[in-house]
Amino acid sequence: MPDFHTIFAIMIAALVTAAIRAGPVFFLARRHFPMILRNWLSFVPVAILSSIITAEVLSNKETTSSGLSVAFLATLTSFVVGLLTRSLFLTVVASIFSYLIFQNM
Amino acid sequence: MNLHIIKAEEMKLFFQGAIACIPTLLSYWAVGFACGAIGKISGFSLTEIALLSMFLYAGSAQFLFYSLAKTGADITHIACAVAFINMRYLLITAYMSQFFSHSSSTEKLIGGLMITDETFGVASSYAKKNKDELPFYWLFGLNLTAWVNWMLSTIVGCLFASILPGWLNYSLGFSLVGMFAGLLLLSWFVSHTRILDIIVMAIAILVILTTHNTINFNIATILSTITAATAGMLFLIWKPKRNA
Repeated sequence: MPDFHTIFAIMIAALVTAAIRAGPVFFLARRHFPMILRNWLSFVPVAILSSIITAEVLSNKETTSSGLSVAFLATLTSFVVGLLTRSLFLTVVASIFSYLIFQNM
Repeated sequence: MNLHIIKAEEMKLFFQGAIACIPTLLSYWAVGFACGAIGKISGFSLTEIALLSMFLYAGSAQFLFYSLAKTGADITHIACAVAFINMRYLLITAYMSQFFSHSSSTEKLIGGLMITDETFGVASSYAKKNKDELPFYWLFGLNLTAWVNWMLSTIVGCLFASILPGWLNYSLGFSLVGMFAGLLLLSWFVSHTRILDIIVMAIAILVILTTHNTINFNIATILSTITAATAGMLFLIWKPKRNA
């Protein structure tokens, strides 16, 4: 039997997230962006992905027996595999397996 | 007749979008499985986990929800914390809004609601490769495939939580970083400003490193994105003038 307090909390959290996700699309879609803003936005994907990766690596405290960050080593391996193969799928596979390997080193 | 041609074109775009999602599915399943399993271990029911995946549909926010709801946090606290952790979507959907200038309200609503970090990464690479065009039906195919797989993976994770040991769940969860690394590289491979992109990446990393331990990660992510993208834009303005 689901807890109704939890279900209500889920719906509120979902509404908040929906407003954040759909709001800018609604309010900004018909606006004409000047070139300077379009240039700024063109760097958002690279900037946000780099930020999330760094934040995720820093928040992972697991280390190898020699004291190196497991997340850092696995991320490095993923990047090397991604650069060599140009494949998203293989990069993800590399991240899982390299994390498993470094976790047990 | 024309209507049939339009429908066929829309279907084709939809399936192309769905196919574009396939490389991300392994990570969706790995992270989704871990998310469902951790939810189950934290004491949430299958219905609650399925509702979270269906309506909240944001991995990091779902993990946060588990820990807050488990400790008995009130609704306002949960709403504020979820808004905070999802704040980066303001930047993501501000970027995405440029592709919806000729879209209907329904398309904007669906397109906005279903966007995730991952589909944003795939979609921005597609737009870069296709002269800044992002057809709605292509995006819908991509987003719907991601959404369905996320829901299924969390449900399966919840059902089979006891099978996998905790350390393996962590390793599966780490595939999220692998996917972001892959998406970053995909975006970089098709970029026309690769050197500037490297500078932007370096600045973003530097901001996160320097604010680490002083600022909350969610604020730091927004701050670093704004700083790095502004630096990239300024370099872009400065570069043609220097060459002139």
